[in-house]
Amino acid sequence: MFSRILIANRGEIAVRIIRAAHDLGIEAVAVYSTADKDSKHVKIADQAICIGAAPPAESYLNIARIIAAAEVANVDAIHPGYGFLAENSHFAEVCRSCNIEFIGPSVESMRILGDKVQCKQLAIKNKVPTSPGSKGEIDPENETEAVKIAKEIGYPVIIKAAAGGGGRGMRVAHNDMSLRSGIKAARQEAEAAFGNGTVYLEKFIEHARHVEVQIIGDQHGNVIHLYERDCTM
Amino acid sequence: MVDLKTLKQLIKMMVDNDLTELDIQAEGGPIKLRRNSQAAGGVQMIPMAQPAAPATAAAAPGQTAPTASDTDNGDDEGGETIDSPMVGTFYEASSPDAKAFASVGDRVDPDSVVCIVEAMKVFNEIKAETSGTIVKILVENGQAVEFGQPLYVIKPD
Repeated sequence: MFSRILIANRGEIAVRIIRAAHDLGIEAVAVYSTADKDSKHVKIADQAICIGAAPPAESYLNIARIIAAAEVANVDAIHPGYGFLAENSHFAEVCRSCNIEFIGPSVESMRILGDKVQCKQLAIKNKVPTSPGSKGEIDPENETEAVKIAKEIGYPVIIKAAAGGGGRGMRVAHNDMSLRSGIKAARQEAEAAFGNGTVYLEKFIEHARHVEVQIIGDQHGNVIHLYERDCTM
Repeated sequence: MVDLKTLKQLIKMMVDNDLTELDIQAEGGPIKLRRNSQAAGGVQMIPMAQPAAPATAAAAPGQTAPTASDTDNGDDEGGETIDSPMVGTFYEASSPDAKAFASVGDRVDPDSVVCIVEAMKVFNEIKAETSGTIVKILVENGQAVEFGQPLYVIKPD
């Protein structure tokens, strides 16, 4: 079991993780930006290190500063919380290469599941039902191919960013013309928001319900589900 | 409660080994000793009443990073401070045998290198960013520092 961990986050999730660490007899190290110096997570941690100015890029998203804090505090592991660097496979890789455990999935899992195209291909390979769509990413140079795939799926289709999240980098298309302009727009938005313009196509399901089943597993082969959650908006 | 003789031995051990924190589980309950290694050796004891547990000791090395409250070492005499722009370990010179970059009384320019802050094996040269004379050095060689932590008191020109 770890003896000391650093929480690379702030706010309520940092507070919850610190409390959980204390319940387990683990020391908790908090990091904070200058804007958060009076925050609760700073107050309840065993140790707190200021890592930068207010903008997240200079603090909570700054991998070098977080690792530096982890080193001077001599922690065994980093808990990323949610948001910020929690889904960043590069961050997980840096942690582990610095001999600091990353409390989260393997780098490989994060890489595959963080890319919707790869994730979908993994699902298909494991015979998990998926909505009809393109087999992989859409070739940006080949609009004819995209139109052909859309017709096979059947309009309306949705163009989605492979690296996307939060509903960005998506466009619905009801015909060939809106498909062409939609692909351009989605690619641009994806490139700007995620640094990756890769898009793919799926059948657009109108009036959908978005239900999640959350699953958690450990290194010893234990896997449990946390029941379902209705995320429909 | 632990007896006075043992307590004195623990305090001596902390001072001799430059420890800043010592947590032990004694027969009477857990004991926490805290020592500010920059102050004149004062040790504060925080007794806590909890069920008995076997005696184990966990000592933290003397280079733990200070918390926010420790950074109030003060700019005195109306001077400004040179603050650390990053998290890492403070070194006063480029190598253990080299002369310190900045000593009390030295005059510095904005581009003068005053110290090194090391993080992730990268040795970053920290510049003064201001002109003036070094009045006081607030940190020790090898000490962990955080972002914004005052390193030097400087009397501006």
